[in-house]
Amino acid sequence: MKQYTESHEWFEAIDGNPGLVKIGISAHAAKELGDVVFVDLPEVNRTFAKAESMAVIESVKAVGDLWAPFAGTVTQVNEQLNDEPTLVTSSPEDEGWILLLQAEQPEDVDNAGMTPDAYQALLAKKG
Amino acid sequence: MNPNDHRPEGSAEPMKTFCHSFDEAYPAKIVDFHGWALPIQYDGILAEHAWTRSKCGMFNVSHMGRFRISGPHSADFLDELITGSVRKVANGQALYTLLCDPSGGILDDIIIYKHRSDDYFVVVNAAMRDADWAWMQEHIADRSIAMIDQSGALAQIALQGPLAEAVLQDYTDVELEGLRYFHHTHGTVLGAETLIAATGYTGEDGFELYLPTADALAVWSRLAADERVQPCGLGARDVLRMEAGLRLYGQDMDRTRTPLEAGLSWTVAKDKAQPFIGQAHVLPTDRPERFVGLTLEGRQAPRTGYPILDRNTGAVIGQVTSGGYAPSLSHSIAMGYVQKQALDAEWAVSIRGKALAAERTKLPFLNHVTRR
Repeated sequence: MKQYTESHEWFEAIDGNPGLVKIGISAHAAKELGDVVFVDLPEVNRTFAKAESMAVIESVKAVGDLWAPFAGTVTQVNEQLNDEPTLVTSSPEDEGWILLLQAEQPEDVDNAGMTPDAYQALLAKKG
Repeated sequence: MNPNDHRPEGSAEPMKTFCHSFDEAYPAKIVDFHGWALPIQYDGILAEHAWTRSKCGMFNVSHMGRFRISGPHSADFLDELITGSVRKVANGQALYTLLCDPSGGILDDIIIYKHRSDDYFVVVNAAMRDADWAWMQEHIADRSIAMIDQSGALAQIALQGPLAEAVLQDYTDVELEGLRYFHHTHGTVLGAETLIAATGYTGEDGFELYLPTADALAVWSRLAADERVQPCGLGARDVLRMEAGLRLYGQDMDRTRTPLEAGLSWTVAKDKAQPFIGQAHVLPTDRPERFVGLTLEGRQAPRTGYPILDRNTGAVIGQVTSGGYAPSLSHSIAMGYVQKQALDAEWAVSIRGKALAAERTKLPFLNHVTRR
């Protein structure tokens, strides 16, 4: 099941690969950011500590970071974003995914985020 | 009347233009811009930008200040305040010019529409409205001048893009083909008495309409219903004006910059008979920096405040004042100030610690105005 972070990332476990997740920014974050024109993707095999910025998402008017929800290593990036950064705007939680991250400790993944319902409740509260 | 009158006393509520109900119902994404509740976008900055470059974008810019200045001494009065000269433009012609302080620092960039030698309509930046009003009042001295603040009574709507003339022609009695660039005339638009001016802030052909605020929502709504017209917000306006190399006061220039430094020495009238405030300081070349345009290869956005570097030494040689991805060019652009002695160096812009190569580029980056 998809999990969400307070800093508006989503991530989802890849079946059969313990500790491997696909990460992107939430539909809410994409809407707030506006039209994305550039995604600064990290190099594959780079490792990140928890809460480190892994990628930078630039819209016409703003800049946002993709924060690591747990420590891990980048195994793949969404190369399509180099040609079509607007996928982050049009399909933030599907085609506009940003990278695959292999958790250093696979058990970190389970409780690194909140459920979709909890995330929606958080957005509603922030209004 | 004082421009402050538009903001309820003691209230932190943002000011609203005639268009606020339309914007809320659309719904547009609304932000606070210098105390005004204005749309940053209606349907998306890229879509609105593309529409304006290919069809007709419509912008509500009623937050700007609008003053009528008349009386037998008007030309003397204005020419004492501005770098240009209202005597050098014809009746029915507009003048882009600067107000400077006694040291040559730019106080604002303004447009003066000349109706007659004793009757002018002046449009100033929203954030400078109160300051410009006070500055002008201070300098009337014993001249016979009538200054009326029409910022509240009149609205300002811009129609910009290659289809702007065809669109507006369907709604006005004025023959637009004969209206030259930076000229203006009076007529009716959808029945409203309107000052129609062939001016704008996008680098496109187009018009700015000044009409009674009471008529503005009806006119705006009718135009918005035209399938050739897209309402556009401040976001698209900012991208369009950057591509056109047009400066934004308060960001690309301010009181610390002279017209020469800001690359606006062309606004200083040659052989102007009348002395004007700041005259001795507007042109001397001893200022340390120059306003420049920069082109980057990629789409990473050089934003306000980012350092400009000497690519070879890494030394900071300047600063970006406006920049971003230019959709019309498919790469990023910037404007900013660079030290005079570094103008011939190889440049880079520092974007989050990475030095990205940048080439000096003559402004404007893009100009589509086709009007004579």
